[in-house]
Amino acid sequence: MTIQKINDCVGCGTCAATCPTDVIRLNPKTGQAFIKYPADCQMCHLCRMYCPENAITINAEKSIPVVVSWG
Amino acid sequence: MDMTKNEHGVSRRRFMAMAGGTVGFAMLASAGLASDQAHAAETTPNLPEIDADDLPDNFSETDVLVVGGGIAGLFAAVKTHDEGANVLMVSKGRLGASGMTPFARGIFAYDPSKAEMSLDKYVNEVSHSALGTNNPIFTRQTAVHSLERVKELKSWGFFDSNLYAESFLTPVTERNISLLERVMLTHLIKDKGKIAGAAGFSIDDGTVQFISAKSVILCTGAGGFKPNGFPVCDLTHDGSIMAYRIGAKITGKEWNDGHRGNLEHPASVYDQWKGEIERNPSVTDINIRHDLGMEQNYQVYTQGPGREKSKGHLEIKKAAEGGPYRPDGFEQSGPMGPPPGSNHDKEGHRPPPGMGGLPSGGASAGMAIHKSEGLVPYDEKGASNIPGLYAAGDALGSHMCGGIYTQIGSSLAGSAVQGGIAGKAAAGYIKGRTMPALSDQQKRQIQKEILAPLNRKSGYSPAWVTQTLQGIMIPNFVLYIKKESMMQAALAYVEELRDHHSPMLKAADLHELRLAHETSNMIINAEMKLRASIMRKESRCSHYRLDYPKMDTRNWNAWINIYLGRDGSMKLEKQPFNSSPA
Repeated sequence: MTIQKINDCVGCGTCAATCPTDVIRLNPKTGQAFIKYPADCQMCHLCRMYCPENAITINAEKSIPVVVSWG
Repeated sequence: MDMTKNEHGVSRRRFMAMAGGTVGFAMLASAGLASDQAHAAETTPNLPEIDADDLPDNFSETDVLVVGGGIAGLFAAVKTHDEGANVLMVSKGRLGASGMTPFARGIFAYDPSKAEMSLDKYVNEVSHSALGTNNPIFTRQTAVHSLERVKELKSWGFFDSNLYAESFLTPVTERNISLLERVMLTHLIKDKGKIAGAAGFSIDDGTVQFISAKSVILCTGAGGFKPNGFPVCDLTHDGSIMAYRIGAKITGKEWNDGHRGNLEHPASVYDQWKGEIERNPSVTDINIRHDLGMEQNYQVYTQGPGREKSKGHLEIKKAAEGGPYRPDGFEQSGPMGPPPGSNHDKEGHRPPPGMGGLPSGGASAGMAIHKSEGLVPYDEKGASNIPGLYAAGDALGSHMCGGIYTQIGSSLAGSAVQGGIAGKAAAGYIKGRTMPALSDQQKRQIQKEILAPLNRKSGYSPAWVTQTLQGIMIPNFVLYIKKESMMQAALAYVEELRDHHSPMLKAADLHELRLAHETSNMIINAEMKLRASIMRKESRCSHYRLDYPKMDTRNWNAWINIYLGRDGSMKLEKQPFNSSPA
């Protein structure tokens, strides 16, 4: 259940501002985005779609087992 | 500079608390009770990364405060401004990229010059599908104003992209409307019986925000129990629970949104919705349906999730006998009918939310049918029972569709229309009123409550309490296929979370502080859903009782309103359909 990686980030901050569940933050030292709270990612892909550099990878296969509805 | 701080900027008092906590954690670990962060489950020490004593505060004033950055909030702010009032927008996320708005792609427009049916017929047909649960005033209102809102959206470039931030920002920037993003409001403030403002905190820098306002419009959406696979990501009923706590009446909690889930990648919103999320929005025509009910949930309850293989294809299982009632003329959708948006817009897009794979249910657990839950409307403009407090969109229990989803694309349209109307009403309300003043004592108390999870030396992690709540509420046999005994059992668990765990929620940083407040709100929502569902002893639309499977028009042609009693307990009352609230 997670965003997988952010490559070649240019530090524009768009993904951090956009993530509805506050998964991504900017590293104060490097200025680059990093995945700070992966457990809260709902894989909505807004960060990836808004990223101007296409730097974000999200992999549904990375889903950790979750408590799903009666399945 | 505070010389008592360590390298992380933590004060000596906080550092001592952390040190003590570390010892405590080590002891727990040695006792085999806690081995890693995943076991931050039961009461564990709080190891804060920030100093709650050091967080700045900020005070601002506005005529009208609009809470929420979705489509309801957008139109509320724009129309408030255009009526000449000063307006401040506050959003927990980013304008156009928070709530459910960023994932909605169809918007209904009733064009009288092209419509296949009259407005009267349209409203009657919706009421027929909704089995009388809709409020025809709001059903009609959305249709009447939808085309104007769609035209405005078009002028801002809304239909040119599947990402709404830019088009939403256009009218806000043009009007120089003040906008605070990534601020979670946790408190509505009332003074002398009227709304006086709100308070919350920035999830980026922790600034505690106090806002004096003559009027507040809640455009905070609905919410869920942070379920898997449905884009209700950041919505936890924050607005309606804040309003409930200061005396607002809340309605519609017994209804359930029946969006299906998919057992393949169940946690991935995008993989369940990708066709929808990638495409640009479009306009939908009249298309009255009876969707998102409980048929599939009933089917899964009786037969288990998944599909059967037949003739080389994966076929939907045969409908189970019995189960929810569908009104005459709406049988064709069948128990496993396509979801809203399916091939129903003008461009013939194929919407796949939850389609394919192994279908199950519960994707949107904790949410009711759009616009059926939220603040009880006291007039057609979205006024609540608290003077100056308005709501619009999914935060308003307008019952625009009723207890079932009746019109494709009406979710966005209804929010846009109601937001605009509430904005105009609030701009009228504030005329001649003086700015409310928040006392220092009030501010101190609110600040203490906001930051309490950061100040707890030990407690429960919001993640664990949320997961526990999900385990109690999301099962099909609790939330959807309802019966008295199981709901009473669930209620006992939820009361435990409310009374014992909610006051002990801890937060190590601002992200967790947000989660802590969200968790508390979800617990109250769970209590509301259970109590309303227990009270409604019949089955209708998206409310299905295994022990009361029939519709009861003699006793239950009524909505259920919920409010905070004088003794602090949750009270419920009936409001007959098409009547004014008590």
